[in-house]
Amino acid sequence: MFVSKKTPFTGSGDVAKNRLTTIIFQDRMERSPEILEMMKSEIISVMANYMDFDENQIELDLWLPGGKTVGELPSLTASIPIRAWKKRH
Amino acid sequence: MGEIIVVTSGKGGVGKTTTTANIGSGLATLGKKVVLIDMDIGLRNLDIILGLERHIVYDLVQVVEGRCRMKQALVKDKRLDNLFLLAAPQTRDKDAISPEQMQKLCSSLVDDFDYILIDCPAGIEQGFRNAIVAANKAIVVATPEVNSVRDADRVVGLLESEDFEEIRLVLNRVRPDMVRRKEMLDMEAVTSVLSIDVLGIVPDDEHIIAAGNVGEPAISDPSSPAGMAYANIASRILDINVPMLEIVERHPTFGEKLRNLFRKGR
Repeated sequence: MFVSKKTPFTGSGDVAKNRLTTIIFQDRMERSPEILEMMKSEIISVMANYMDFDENQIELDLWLPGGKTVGELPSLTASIPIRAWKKRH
Repeated sequence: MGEIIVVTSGKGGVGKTTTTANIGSGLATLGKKVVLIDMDIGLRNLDIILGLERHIVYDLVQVVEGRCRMKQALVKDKRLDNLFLLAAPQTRDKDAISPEQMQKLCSSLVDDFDYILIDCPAGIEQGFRNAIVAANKAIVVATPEVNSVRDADRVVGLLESEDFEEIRLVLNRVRPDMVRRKEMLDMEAVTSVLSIDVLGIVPDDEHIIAAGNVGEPAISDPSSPAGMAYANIASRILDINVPMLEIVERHPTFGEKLRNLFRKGR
């Protein structure tokens, strides 16, 4: 009777934090889809200082966690096949 | 020249009107001349919170339409001589005033008042557009809930695109006990998402309901934790450095402890 039980809502604050982060990320991306393109072109310009690659083969993937996951955050993965290094560091 | 601040949130029911009434009263208590404009046309509430509903003869649309003078429409507060209300009409809709008219209305007040606080309606449509048009500072009210913070983020985005000079957050109805149990978003989680400055944290407080019952803002009750938080917010608006109110958890009375015991037992 005196032991506080674990309810389905225990720790729900962390779930809320995760959902919020994902939702806001998704909202902002939807509101300004050009951000992804802008990031892509900036990434390309930085990488171009160091290596050779085909710009058309670059893939940016957006992953959004779903459901009541804790600790999983939206993530962005870039796949950039590299042809050669430009300079030796 | 007075400052024009809009109190907005996107989502309804998070405490915009309560926040407007209390901050306005706080600024007036600190000696500033303040006018509160209720822009929730058709669903006015600010008069009730201030207990001024029986004093309203004219509203802001009648001023705009030239059917009365501004002076006639400004209702003086019951307690504070330097606090005034410009009421919304209850029988018109959001199109009863245009953004240009709102701009003109505020311009006509800006020389006579130190602060013009605008209570914005919920939503992001025409009513919102009208309410924000004359302001260059905003107070965004949110509660620590996912949907409220999401709407606040949308509103912040819209305000930023209108080149607002200052956008600050009031996090309302915080339950320290729930934050401690990790059953509520904490300040850090909210601010990390919204990335705007925090003007204040207001605890969830029964006094707000009781204050609304009698039509006196909670800030006039020194025993109200929310009222105290609003007083601090008013000071911060005047650039008086007040530390963020450490929200203290109220200790349950013996009777409440007993009730809780029985509740848990079930």
